[in-house]
Amino acid sequence: MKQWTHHAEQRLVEYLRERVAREGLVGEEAEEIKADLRSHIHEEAERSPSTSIGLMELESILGRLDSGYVPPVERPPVRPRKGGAFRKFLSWTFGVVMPAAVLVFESVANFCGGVFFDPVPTWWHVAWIALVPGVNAWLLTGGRGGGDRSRGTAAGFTLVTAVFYGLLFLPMIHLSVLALLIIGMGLLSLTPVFAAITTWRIGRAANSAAGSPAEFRAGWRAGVLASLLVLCVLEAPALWTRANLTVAAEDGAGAPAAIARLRAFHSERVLLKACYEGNRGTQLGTDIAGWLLTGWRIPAAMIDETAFRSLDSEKVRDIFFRVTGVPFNTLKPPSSARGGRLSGRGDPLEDIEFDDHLGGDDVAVRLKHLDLAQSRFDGHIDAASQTGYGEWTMVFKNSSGEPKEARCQVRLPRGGHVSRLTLWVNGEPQEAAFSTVSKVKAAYKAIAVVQRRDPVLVNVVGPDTVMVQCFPVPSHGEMKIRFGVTAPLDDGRWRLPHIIERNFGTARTLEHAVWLQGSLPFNLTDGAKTHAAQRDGDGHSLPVTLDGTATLRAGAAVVAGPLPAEPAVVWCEDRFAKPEERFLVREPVTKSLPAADRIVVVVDGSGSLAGFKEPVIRSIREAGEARITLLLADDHVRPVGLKELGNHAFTGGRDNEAALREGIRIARETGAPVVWIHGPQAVKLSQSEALMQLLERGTVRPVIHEVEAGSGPNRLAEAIFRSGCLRSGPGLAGSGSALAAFLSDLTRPREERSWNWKRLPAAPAEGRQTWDQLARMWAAATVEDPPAAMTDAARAELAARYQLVTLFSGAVVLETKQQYADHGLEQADGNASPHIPNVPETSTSLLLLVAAASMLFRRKRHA
Amino acid sequence: MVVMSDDGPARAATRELFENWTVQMRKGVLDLCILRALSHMEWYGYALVKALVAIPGVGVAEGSIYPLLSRLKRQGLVTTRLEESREGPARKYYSATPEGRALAREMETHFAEMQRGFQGLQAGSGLTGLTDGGQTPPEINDSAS
Repeated sequence: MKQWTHHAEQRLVEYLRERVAREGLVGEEAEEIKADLRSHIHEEAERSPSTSIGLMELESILGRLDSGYVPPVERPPVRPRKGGAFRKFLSWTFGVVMPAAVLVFESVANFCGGVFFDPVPTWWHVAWIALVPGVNAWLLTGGRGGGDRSRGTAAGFTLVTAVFYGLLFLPMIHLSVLALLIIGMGLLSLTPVFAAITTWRIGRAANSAAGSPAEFRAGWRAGVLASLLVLCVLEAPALWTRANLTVAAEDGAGAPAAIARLRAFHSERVLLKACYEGNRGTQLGTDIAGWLLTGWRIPAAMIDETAFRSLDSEKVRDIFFRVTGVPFNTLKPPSSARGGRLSGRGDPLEDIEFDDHLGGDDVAVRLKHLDLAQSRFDGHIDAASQTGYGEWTMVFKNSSGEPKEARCQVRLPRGGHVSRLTLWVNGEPQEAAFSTVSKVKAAYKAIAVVQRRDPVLVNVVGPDTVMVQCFPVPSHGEMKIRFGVTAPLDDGRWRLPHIIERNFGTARTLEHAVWLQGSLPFNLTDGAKTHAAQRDGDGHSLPVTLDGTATLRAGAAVVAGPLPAEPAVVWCEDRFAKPEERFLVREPVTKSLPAADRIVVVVDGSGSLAGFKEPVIRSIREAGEARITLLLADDHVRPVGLKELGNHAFTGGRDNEAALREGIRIARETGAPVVWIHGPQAVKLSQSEALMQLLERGTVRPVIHEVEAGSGPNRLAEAIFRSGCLRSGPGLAGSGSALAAFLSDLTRPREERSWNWKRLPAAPAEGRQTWDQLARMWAAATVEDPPAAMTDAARAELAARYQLVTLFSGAVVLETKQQYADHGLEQADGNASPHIPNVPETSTSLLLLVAAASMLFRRKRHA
Repeated sequence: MVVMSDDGPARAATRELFENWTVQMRKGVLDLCILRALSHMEWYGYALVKALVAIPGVGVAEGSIYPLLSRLKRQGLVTTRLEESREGPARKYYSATPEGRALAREMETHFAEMQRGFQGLQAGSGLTGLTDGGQTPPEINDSAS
């Protein structure tokens, strides 16, 4: 077979392509004709007298083969223009070297991303941009290994990329020039503009040098289209999200429609980033889409400061929840694709983070470098008093260069109260002072925010929910705290406390070490898993290590049992009481409750209820649909039937305020109880006063039973639980049978267990002695009993005396005794603080009995 | 002295008419030639193209025949098979399908009838019985023009 020269082979390829194009053939047919012609030409070549096939031989064959053949026109050699070397230098500098260098720098340093906007938010963007210097270098070296079409495609593709980035940086060109002239910097932001011009020139030169300009142009058009497609894929979702977010945040007439559009389609990455913008008073530090919407205002901002009007961060976070149905701070905070390893300026390993909620009442933004590093829970369940006490020890770790405040909301066991708070200062445990909410908050803010020393604060923020905040978790250091929880068993269950909202992450290696003990057998249920306690001395114990997510999820609970149907009369020595009231006795009593003629059921239309739609519908049907007024909370209020409820698409996060208000209004008119079935409600209230008025005024106090579908922050419950109208209903896990039974119970006369408390100067003859958590249970019930004739100050004083965090009292740990004295606080006596018994505790009476028996035995021996 | 003649443009028009006529003629006959060739035996593509362009009067470029073969193949009149070659690309062999052979026979019959009629015209017998009342058609008197 004869040798073909490279040029002849290349020419044959071009001829065949041109030939099928001339014939108007495409696809399979074109390929077949190409193969036939190629075979024919090879036969001709083999029969030619030449020893090898070059361009001339091929042209001769083609001339015979094709009557319409026109040989390619020889282009005159391009004479090098004057200054060609300098042009070449500029092309290499701004078309290859600088774009590549700036891309690497920005990828590592996140320099522009931290100040103006992040030009490379994903690795896809990095790859897309990297093609610009790559293709430019290839074209400048002659585009070896490719034809005119592929060179055209590459040139068209990179031109779109280069021009897009050139335009992005154009609004700050005046700042860049000034920076370049004054401080010698600014080339970074000028490079994309220069690169756009240079890329265009390189592409034009490649077109001029193309053997077939038509081929080059066809490829160029394809490249432009392909790059535009990439641009759309990368940025159109972000732009759509930003544009609708802006409309939604303006609260105009178009806001509901914008939220609906975002629910239909949005970029979560963009929404999440927007939640963290605005902390600095501007929308800068945004992404490409955000810059496209605001960057053009830069020149105006030099004259008019208001040109950069920031979106309200709180509103953006509300929108995030409304769109996704998930509170924004449950997700990891946005970070640049590359981690921004140099952007801490002073510290090469961290991002700058702004926490403008330090010492505040909101959990707010998640901090990137703050983690819960260790977690330990020790609990004791007392079957006689049907109460439990547990201590949760948390160790926070801060890997940034700045001290941080850890904040979280913790959901306690049902009816639980924090009864102990400890902070380790210089390795020594310090107990808390319990006092009025205002006093402990003032002390915390003074010490934490102003003096920046070590305090920890716990106060109640919602039903069975406390806010825990501690500052400072030192830079590259740890902070250890512990809080104890006293709570009754709820139908034999004691739910483990868990975090429902936090401003920190969890360490990758986090484990939740749980130790439980009790006087009777018990199990720990955690989702589908059940861990059984083992015999341990006179009692039972269970050591188990749960994964770190157990600290964040609801569901883990101690199930004690079997418990007697009728609780025993129990008593304890109350060390906080006066001598004449030293012994506290609790007797079970039953209370009759009337049947409700109607029930108002408010169903949250959020995405968190999507998985519970069928159980809810089934429960309502079983309880009797005719007796139930069903309201769907769909940002607005919508009276619905079961069919409409079944057809509703549970998506996003729906504001329940309007529906709950309507439910309460109906409840006031009819006396019907309200059952509010809901998921997290991370939306701030718009008309909280109107809602509170409905709850506080009039002679009829509505009763709202809340049924939680998913654990999470609930601003609406936080607002109304202080009215005393809110009651905890059943859980919604599983088949929903508990809800069906609960609804049915409401519609018939029923009995509810309650307690009768008595105080005696001496130990009673009857009943069983139990631990002093009983006294705390009494104090908590008294403090939070609305009908009790007590002032708020008296309630706070009582709660503080019994070391309880309630609606009226909080707990704070300060660093020194002087700090306690300065703020009028008295540190709790460590001996009076509750504790976990060392071993499953034998009752005190049993201990006394053993001691007495021992003494008698010794006396007999002496005798 | 050069004498200018008026029959230059007329000759050019006649030439153009002849060219157009041959193009139409070739278009019609080329399908017949291919099918006739392939009805009797299998042909290697290159050899077939060479044989076809060698027919006097066919006058097409070699490269133009491949699209024609491709069309006939798509129409199910021609089939191909590939045979590996050690000297270059695989060789493609063409043959007529049963439909192609049937069509070739039909076309040949038609062409033969046309030819007979054409020759009959020359002999003056082709139109017998077609004229009214058996009269001989009027003679065309060339001298009248």
